[in-house]
Amino acid sequence: MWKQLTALLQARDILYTWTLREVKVRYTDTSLGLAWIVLYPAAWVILFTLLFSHLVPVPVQGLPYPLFVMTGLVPWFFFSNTTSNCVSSLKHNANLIPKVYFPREVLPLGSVLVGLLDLMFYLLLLLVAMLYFHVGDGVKLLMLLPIIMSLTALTLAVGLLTARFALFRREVQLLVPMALQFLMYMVPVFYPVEIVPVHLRMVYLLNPLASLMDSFRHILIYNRWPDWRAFGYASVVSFALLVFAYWDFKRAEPQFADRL
Amino acid sequence: MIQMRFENVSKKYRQRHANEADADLWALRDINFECEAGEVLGLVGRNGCGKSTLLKLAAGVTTPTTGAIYTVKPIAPMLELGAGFHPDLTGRDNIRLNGSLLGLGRRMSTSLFDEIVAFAELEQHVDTPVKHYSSGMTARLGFAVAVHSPARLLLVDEVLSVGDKLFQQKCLARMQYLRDQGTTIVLVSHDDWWIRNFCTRALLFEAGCIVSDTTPDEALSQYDLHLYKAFGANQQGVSVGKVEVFDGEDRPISELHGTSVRARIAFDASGIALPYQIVVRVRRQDGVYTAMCITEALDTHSAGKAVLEIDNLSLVVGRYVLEVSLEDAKTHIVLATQVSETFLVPGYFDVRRGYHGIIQVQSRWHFD
Repeated sequence: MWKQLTALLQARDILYTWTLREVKVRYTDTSLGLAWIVLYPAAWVILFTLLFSHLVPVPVQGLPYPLFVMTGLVPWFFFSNTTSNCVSSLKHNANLIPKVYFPREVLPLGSVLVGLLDLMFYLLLLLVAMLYFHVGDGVKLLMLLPIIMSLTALTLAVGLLTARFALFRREVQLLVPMALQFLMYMVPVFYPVEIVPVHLRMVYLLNPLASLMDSFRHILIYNRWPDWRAFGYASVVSFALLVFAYWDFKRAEPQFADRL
Repeated sequence: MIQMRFENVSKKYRQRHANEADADLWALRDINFECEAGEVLGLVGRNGCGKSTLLKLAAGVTTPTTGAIYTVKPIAPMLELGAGFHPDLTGRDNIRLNGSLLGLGRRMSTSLFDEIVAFAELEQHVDTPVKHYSSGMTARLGFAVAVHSPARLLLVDEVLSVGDKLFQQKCLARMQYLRDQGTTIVLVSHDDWWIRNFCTRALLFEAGCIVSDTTPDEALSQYDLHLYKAFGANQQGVSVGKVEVFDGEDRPISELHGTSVRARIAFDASGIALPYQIVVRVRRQDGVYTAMCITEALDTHSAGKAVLEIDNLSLVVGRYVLEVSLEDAKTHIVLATQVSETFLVPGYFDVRRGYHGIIQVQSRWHFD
């Protein structure tokens, strides 16, 4: 695996230009251009606020609901958008893969980097909202860094696995969007973890994504340190999964060109 | 220095069928060869004989089922021009992107960038999205990026027909320059001209195996023979059999002295569409037809032997064959064809000067 990582490091130029390409492609030829990146989350925040603040109120410990739901949506967008981009990252480049060799993980990795750029931008919006609502603690915000790292590791792991399996089994491409829709209800996006019954909470937090998203929210608006055991568990699982996913990806890589 | 080596390389593909069991297809079997720096290797053979698979293996996009491959890095694979171009991005962005895939690095110098743009003749369009390019423009850009990469091994798959005559001349000049710099070039082309004039060596493929590793001229004539065998073998009662060539004294020839030639041709036209003609062409090894003899339009079905006598075949030095075909008299479509053994017209041959014209003339010099 060491050799493969060195090869990837040597291919960083490709990764850089590829990521740039993905970003550019997204914002050329759309009439609203950069405005999309604000309109898309805004629409979700408004929808959720109407639903769970007015129609079916969800208890959020006295916090403003729009802010509450933003802290759930930001990591969720990162995970779900990146995963759906990763799934098709190899398939969409079916004309390129059989023609030029480069480390193939560049493609899902590029999707993750694009997702990270979006995440940074959303975080900025979130910080503005926090200033507006006078919530948040400067020192605890540093904790965001390890949380985002674990979240990135988890997302990349899932991205590598789904991208590679999408080549071998057609169903994956159909299953992933459906799985993501289900998953949104199983992680704390629009409700707090606290509404999950105590005896089920252990099971609920076995999902590393749920743990990480909960830690994320704790840091940002509850002004509390995360549950260290849950966070530690989620990080270990995420990085272990990444190592496995990368190993598996490189193992399957020689067959990619023949499978397309 | 060895730039590329294939050792006992075989490649198996799994063919998926809808209703039957999967079948294995050996695209390449037991391939062995080496390539030196500055060699230009031509790959010749019919469609599906494994040429493109070999290039893919050399490029590293797929791995051999058995055997080992060694290649120098970096490689510029031109298996498809402009692979990875994104239609929405400008020529400029695509040059950087494609360049990074081919090892040019994103911090490509501006002088190199300008050189690529100038080579592709796209100065006016470099900031236009590639989707507005014509197919020729896209191909020129792809070619330009590839031949400016620092590759020590250039893999070219049937992409030389891009652009107009002038651009092709430029491609040739650029590739000759790369070759002289020590870049090894592997070329797949169905255009004899490129194989004959640019390659230093050729491999002839047949059903996934290398059947001969020889000079381009020799490989092409063997390939022709192979094609003729495959041609017309499928139709009952339409074939050209053995073609024997004799000299003026009725001796079978391998070397021609004098100018008289007789050819005895076995043919079968019992199942042919009427009327037809028997056509004999004298073909030199480089593909040039030097003479042609045609019968009247024949409208009786027959099979047997025909004899052709040529009295004044004044050929320049070189190797020749007689190419005999049965052709539809109205449409001139070739129905069956066959070639004779090659024969040599002896004489002094200067490789650097190439062939000495087409016909031999009697000439004298005078100086004042």
